[in-house]
Amino acid sequence: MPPISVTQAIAYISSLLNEDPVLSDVCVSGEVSRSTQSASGHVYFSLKDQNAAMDCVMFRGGVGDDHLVVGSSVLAFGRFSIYAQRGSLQLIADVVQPAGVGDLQEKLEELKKSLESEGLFEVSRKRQLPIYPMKIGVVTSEEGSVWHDIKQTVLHRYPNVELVLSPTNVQGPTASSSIARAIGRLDVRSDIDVIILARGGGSPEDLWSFNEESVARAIFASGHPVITGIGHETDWTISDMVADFRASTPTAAAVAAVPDITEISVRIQSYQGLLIRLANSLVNDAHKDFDYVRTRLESALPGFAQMKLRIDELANQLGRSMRVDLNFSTEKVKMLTDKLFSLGPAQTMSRGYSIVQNTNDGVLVRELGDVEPGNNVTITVSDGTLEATVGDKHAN
Amino acid sequence: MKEQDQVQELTFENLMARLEEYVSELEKGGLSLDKAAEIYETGMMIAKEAGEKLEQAELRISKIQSEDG
Repeated sequence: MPPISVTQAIAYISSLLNEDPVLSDVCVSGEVSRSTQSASGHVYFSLKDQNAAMDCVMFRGGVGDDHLVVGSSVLAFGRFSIYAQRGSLQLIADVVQPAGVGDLQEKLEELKKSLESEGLFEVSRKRQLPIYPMKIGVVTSEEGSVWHDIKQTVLHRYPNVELVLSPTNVQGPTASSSIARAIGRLDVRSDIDVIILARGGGSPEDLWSFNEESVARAIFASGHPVITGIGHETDWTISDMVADFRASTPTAAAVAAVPDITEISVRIQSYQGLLIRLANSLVNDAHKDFDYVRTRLESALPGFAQMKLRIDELANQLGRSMRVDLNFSTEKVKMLTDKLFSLGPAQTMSRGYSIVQNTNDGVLVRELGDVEPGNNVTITVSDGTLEATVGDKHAN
Repeated sequence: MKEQDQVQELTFENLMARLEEYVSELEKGGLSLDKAAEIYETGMMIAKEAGEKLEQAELRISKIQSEDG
């Protein structure tokens, strides 16, 4: 077998390590038996268990170096490598986390699956939030800025409510049962319209109680809709998944719980404006209808208006004329009588005309055919009558 | 006025719902002048009441006692 150099040997082993799928991306669990930080910021530590130990290094910038405390159980994620200068094996760790967290993560995933299968995350069961709540239950710590922030937000956005604090601690081993009980205390009150469950920002461990089954079930069982505002924007806990509405922060939860008073005020005013405009336009329409009918009436009776005017006019005239004419009437009557008289037979006869009548029947003789020669006629002249007998007739 | 008392007893939510109802009724049209006048009057009264409730609103705070320990 041909000899290979030390360098070649090391290089060969190195490539084996790099190409191996397990050894190039591995998670090793063990106890930290030594840990020192160099001036450059790298941490050199050792992991051991009952039977073996190995050297590890976490270069500066790795995550979780604060967990590299002697005696603690950790999970180290990284790859194996050979330190060429000494030919020593080491684990280069990128991420270190407490061993417990690994378990916790697993338990969390299991819990999520089981609650989901029971329907706790079901979107269809999430309830609508009341538009104009009157009483809002708040489950959070009485100390700290969260309760203060919620009060301030509601005060400025919509003070037309009562906030009912159901205090609880929000961190630590007893927190989850305390939170569940605090929700329960609001549940028995029928006057609560909506509940805010809130907690400020923190590490995943700090927020862990909101991942507990007891809290999830308390939210699910709540008779009032629950709004969660837990941690920061990107933090999602099981409580957020069960909630009727998840807000990204406690302040956002308060905003979601109440309407904006300014917007409502404006809306009321615009409704008032609408009422006035609509009522006015109805009255205007009624006027138009009335005018239309009146116009039709006038066109059905043409000159109706004028007639009425004319009648009024004439009545006035008549009144005036009556008074004037009374003065003239005596004069006129005399004049007319004179005229009549002048046209009457008496005046005519005094001018030489006479009236001829048949003596027997008094019928007027107007033409030759009315008499025969020998007939007796009576002739009336201006001052008396003559008896005569008709002689010969001569036509004109 | 009896109606005034009734209006004051309504919750804010009820006031807003009624107000919106009245506006949409007037918008629909086809109402007699009498009915329209009634809706207008009551609607304005409700709007006034709602506005006042908002103006006078004060945030109230209360606390449920938690158990000791």
